[in-house]
Amino acid sequence: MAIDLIQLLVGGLLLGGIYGLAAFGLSISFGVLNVLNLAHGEFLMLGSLASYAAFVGLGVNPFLSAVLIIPPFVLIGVGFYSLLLKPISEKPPHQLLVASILVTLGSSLAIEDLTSFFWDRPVTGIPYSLPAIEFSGIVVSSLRLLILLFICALAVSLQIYLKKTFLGRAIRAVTQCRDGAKVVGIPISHVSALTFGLGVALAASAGVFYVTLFTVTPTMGIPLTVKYLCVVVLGGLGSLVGSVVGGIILGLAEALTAYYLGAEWSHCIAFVLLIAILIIKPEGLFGTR
Amino acid sequence: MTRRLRGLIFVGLIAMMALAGSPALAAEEPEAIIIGASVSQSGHFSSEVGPFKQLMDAWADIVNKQGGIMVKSYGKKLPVKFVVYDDKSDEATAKKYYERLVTVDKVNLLLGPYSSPLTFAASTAGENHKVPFIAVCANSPKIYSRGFKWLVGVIDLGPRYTYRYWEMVKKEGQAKSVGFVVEDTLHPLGVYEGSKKLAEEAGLKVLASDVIPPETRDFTPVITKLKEKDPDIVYISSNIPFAVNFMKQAKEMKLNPREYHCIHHSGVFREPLGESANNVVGQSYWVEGMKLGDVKLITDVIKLSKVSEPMYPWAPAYVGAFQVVQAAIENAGTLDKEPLMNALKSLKLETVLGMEQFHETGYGSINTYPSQIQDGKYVVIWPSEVASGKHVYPRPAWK
Amino acid sequence: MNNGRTSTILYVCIILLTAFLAALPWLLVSYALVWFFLFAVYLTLAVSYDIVGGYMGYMNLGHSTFFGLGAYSTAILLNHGLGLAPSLGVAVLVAAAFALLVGYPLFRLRGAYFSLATFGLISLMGILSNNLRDLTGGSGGISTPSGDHSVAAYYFSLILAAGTIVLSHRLARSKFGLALFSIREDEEVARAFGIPTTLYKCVALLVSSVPASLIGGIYVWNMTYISPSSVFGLEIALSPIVMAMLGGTGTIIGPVVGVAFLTALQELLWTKIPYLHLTMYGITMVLVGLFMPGGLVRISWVRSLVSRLGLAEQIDYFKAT
Repeated sequence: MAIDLIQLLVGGLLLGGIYGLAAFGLSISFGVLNVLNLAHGEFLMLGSLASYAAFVGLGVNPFLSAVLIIPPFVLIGVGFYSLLLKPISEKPPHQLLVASILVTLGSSLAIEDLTSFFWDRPVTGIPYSLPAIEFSGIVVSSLRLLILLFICALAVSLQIYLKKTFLGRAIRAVTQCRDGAKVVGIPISHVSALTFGLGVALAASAGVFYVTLFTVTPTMGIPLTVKYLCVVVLGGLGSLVGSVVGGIILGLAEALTAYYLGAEWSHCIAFVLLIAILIIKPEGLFGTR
Repeated sequence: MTRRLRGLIFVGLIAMMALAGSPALAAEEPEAIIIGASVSQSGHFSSEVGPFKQLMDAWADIVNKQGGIMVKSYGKKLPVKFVVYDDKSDEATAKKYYERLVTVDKVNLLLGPYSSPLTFAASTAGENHKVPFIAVCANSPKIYSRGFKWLVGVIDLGPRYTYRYWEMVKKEGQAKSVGFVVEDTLHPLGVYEGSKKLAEEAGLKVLASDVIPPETRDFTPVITKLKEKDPDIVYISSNIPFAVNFMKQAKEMKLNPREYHCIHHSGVFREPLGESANNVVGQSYWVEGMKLGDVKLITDVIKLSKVSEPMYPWAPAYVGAFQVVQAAIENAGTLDKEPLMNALKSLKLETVLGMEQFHETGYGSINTYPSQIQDGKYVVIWPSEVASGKHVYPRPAWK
Repeated sequence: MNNGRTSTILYVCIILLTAFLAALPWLLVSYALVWFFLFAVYLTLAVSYDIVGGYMGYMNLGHSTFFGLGAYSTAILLNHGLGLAPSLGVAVLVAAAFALLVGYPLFRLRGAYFSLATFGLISLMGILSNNLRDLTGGSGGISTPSGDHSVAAYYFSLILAAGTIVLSHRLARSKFGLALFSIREDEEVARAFGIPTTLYKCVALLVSSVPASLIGGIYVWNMTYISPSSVFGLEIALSPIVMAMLGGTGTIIGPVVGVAFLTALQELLWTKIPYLHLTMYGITMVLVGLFMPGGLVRISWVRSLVSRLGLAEQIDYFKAT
């Protein structure tokens, strides 16, 4: 029984790490832009397809493409921001909310439709696996473990980036107080563009792992975005640690519920948790207002 | 003044859009056979049937090249024409467009949408307006228990989806127990409910049954349970993405039953699993090399439409439906709805997928054959008169 | 007065439209019945959403929860042999009770947090309807006694949609409506002026739940089949809200224009363009969001047109913020 429990915790932990990575991209772009990016899942999907093409066409290892994919997707994100989000960014809050939902949902539908039209695979997945690690009856998927380590490394380097570099500090400053940041001379629109690019790139990078572990369909974007929004809220908007911890809590809670109450209730727990945390601590576990 | 003009233009624009969208009132001369259908080009089913409009157009091209379908009462062959809408994988939209097909496009008969839920909603249009409705990929028993008179379905009921597999298991007598992993959506659930009974009837012990939400990404809890119980057969009743996710993790965690059965195991299942897909048993309507029916029609339609059969395993079922349409019209000799429906009801036809005959409540007799992936190829393993290879049991364990 | 004349024109238009819609079933275009039925469903949802989302400024992404609850309650009761009217009555009570139950905790949240929590609510209800198999039929959905109700459902839904618009109109002109506007503009100030904000917010949610649950009941009665994904899915959750936003939230006429525009656009794209219609639909949404973020009715010339019809009272409220 104890072994089962440990096995479950390990499984939940590994799943949670993957939730965290994509969620963090969503979280920083919300922190800086104050925009709920409903197209986030689409970038994850595009990242998956790109890495599939790289794997099948050129034999690029998924871990490598998870890194290689970042620069082009930063560019895509910056382009997306300058073209679609910058024009609305100075609107008053009501209008910004409405406009951002129309813009991101609209582009998300368009991306979904274009992808399913031009991508000739209805379901995409990469046949990549590594032998599992086994000790005293507990099986740990080495692929998932490696991914978790990779995510941790990425999170640490991001954290250093946010703490030490000018741009990173600027991002945090804008998250904390937009007007104050403007006053001290931070070029808001540059910072916003780059942050959004970073968020998109992180989604794409998470997409690489996604397609390695699971399968990808062109229509999965919006439901996935919804799920990641939960993770983000759980951990606190704009908090890196929060996203990862939020993801892990969710992963663990799902695994435990699935085992003890039955798998059909595992997704219920995510939303119960979400609503509970919002009511008890609305800013999320690690969030600051 | 200009303001008023702009206002008028605005109102005019909206009115024009409403008009353009609203039914055009044109009466069709019977110079073609018009078949109405909807295809889920967008929404979640698009990953299963997205490009199937091409399939319909391809078959129409093939038939029309031969002059069309013979309709005796007109004394000539009439060409076939499809009117197809996108139902967004949404019940309300499906219902709306089938209503449109019947009342605006005045189709002669209807081909069903993809999936049981959509068929549920759409088939009322056929029933209410008395137009023959041929369901294609819809096998929920509930659809056929409503007493609809204008409805037939090409394929057999969901709970019987894998009955040939259980026949085989019983006959071989090697497997003694089974564990079910079920995706909680309509079709997999129906297949599971039927299969559980059939498995018990075949003398197997059911050691586990887990019904799991479709979005599940971590199967550790289920696999842990299954490892404890160690059934001979792990039977995964699910759609493909779910099955792939399960199989990937099952391999990592070295769940080693004597046999894996995944009800859907087409090309999009095999590709992301690579080697691990080998020896998985599943169900196919048709695979290349099978000793059954007129292969040429299937290969022609598939080639012309550029819809790849391994990627879209439902394509053969649609070809079966086309044959049913053609035979029913030829038998009826007219496009009048009543005789056409009677012809459908009394149809007995050797299709590309086997014998087709409709039960009095409407469901058909075409069903799947158990097939196994052997070295990346699909091999039908039962019954022996159509089989193209031998069943490998037990499968070599993963190390 | 010019104003008097335009409102006469408006009334004449309304009467003509009513006559046309009332006569439609005899014009033998039954497709139009289904079309207008769905139109009315979206209209009711969009207008009732706007009471909380537009007037009060709380973007309730979970508005379709009430729709789904209404639909499921009605379906279950119809299957137990109850008539339509009592079933609908109970459905409204269920949805209203649910609104009261969740209202208090949810309204402690604001802005995007409120939206996300309400969005979570739909998923929760979707999962419940999947899992409580004995009650709801699970993922297989639930079918009600079949029969052709399209004409009756057409009338019911249109009357309900019209009723919702009237309700929303009355509300906007009432003291209560004014209180909602003030909550949107500045909740603290509103409270300081003695508005019991929490109570009013809950009441507003309650009011908006009534039309949504009623139309849900009529929807299932007409469709004779629903599944968790059809009433708790994303399509029904997001479409009415997007329509309201696209037309212009916080106004009566906005959601109406938005629903008319998007349903007509969709019909046009879906029936005339065989491929990539969803792309164009999405691009239209993007363009509206980019160039007219206040919605269609806030484009200056549309505004002037609308205000001449005497329907523009609330349009300018947004300007202040």
